[in-house]
Amino acid sequence: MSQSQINKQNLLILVSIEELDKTLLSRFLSLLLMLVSATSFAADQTPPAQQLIRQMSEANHKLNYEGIFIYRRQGKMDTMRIIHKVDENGIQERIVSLTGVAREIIRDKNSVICILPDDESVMVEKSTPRQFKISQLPEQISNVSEYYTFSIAGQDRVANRPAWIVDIVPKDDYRYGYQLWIDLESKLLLRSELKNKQGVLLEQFFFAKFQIIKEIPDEWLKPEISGVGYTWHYNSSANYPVHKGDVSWKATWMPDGFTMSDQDRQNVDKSLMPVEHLMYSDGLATVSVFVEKLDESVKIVTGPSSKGGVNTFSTMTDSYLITAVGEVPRDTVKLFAKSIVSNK
Amino acid sequence: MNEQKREQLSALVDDELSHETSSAINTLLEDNEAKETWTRYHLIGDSMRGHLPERIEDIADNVSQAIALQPTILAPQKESPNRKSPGLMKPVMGFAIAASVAAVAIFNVQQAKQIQERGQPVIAQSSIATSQPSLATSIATPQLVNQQAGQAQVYQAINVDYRLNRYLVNYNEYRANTGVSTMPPHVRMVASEPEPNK
Repeated sequence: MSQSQINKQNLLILVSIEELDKTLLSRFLSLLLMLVSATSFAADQTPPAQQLIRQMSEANHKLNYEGIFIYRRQGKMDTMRIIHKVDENGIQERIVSLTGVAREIIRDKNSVICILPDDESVMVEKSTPRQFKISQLPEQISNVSEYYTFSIAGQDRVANRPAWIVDIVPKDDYRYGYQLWIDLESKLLLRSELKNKQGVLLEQFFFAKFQIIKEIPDEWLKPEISGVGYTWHYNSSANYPVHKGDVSWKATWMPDGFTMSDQDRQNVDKSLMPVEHLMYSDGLATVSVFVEKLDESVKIVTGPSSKGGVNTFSTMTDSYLITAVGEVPRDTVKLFAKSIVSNK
Repeated sequence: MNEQKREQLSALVDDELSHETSSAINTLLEDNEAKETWTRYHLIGDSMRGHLPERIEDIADNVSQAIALQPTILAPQKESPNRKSPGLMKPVMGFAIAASVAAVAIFNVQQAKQIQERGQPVIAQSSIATSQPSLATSIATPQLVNQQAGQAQVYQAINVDYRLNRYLVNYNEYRANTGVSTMPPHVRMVASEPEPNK
């Protein structure tokens, strides 16, 4: 029904009220209207924040979509296109930068291919597939409520779609907070902001164009840059059994709520030794610690650095380079890195 | 097939001809060789309009322009001075042909890509590189090199960057597979680098 038709009907009702008279009747009618609008709001009642987050994660493992989004951090802005396909092989995803250098990432459950035209290289990271367990999520979420406050901040519109705004505020200084815009209809993530505990915006992404697509052609997941003449780096990682006598590493400090969730050993084409990858999470934030034995001759810059909302901190212990990487404050990665010890 | 036919076909693909001319072309298409050319032009047209990435389209434009500037080498024969060209039509068609040539060059690049997808990476010389060396250089210029820095330092910088990038990719994968994703994975890798010497 078009807007003008509705207006005409309203007009008709008003006319008939006047004819029939009475202020009483019109009062009754406006009351009725209020009731109707109240019930229609009740239909999309505010859901619990944690339930929405769980639905968001599930939707991402079920739905195909394509869109263009803006990514902002530290006074810089990029526009990117994403293609997200889910089938029996899991998630396949491709992200291409539409501004600046035409960097591109294509990933599936086994590998990540990074095409970096600015240094004419292609990086291929292979990994044993990690199974995503949706069943783990509710538990993780309820645990994290000890360290974050979850709430619904209201509704907004992103890429012409109504969305819920979910606020996630950390309870201590070791973590960042998030604001998530979750699509009312599909429960997919349409926008997010990373903030420090004081609420200062660190990083932001939001869709400008977004569509859910039933079938995504495989063509869309093919790289646009051939990589011909580029340097190709192949790295692989795998879960590994820890042998007796192996040098193993662990963090002796971490914020409350963090636990070690996984461990990898990576074979890297340029390294003398495999790289250890220790993974820590509080259910929401994650920190990776990489330990790599370096050749004495290699000079390396240690200390902090950052990339968007990710902070890193490197430190040398004997001839090992220890680097903590995480979407957490600089102090957190620093303390993580400094706390790493070996069993030797 | 003569040059005029070829131009007409090219123009027809680009909808630049009037209807009576196109019906004339339709009869022309009885010819097998013309039909092949027709199909090829359509393929090229499609790829140029929709299926090629912006970056490569830019390359196509650059190549076309470069070719347009050097008609004696790659473009069809120059028009003879005694033949009146109908206003803008002639240059437009000339460009259409030139653009097709550029697209053929890109097709070869794409073929190289397919070879690569099937097997191990190959170091192949693209047609762009062969026919337009100056352009190839401008495309291939690495951007991260700090002009003042010596070669050794640059190498070091790339190494550091490479190591951190690798860490970041692995971190992103872990992040994407653990709990709640708050951003599409690897966005930070795809994002352009901060300015050098910031």
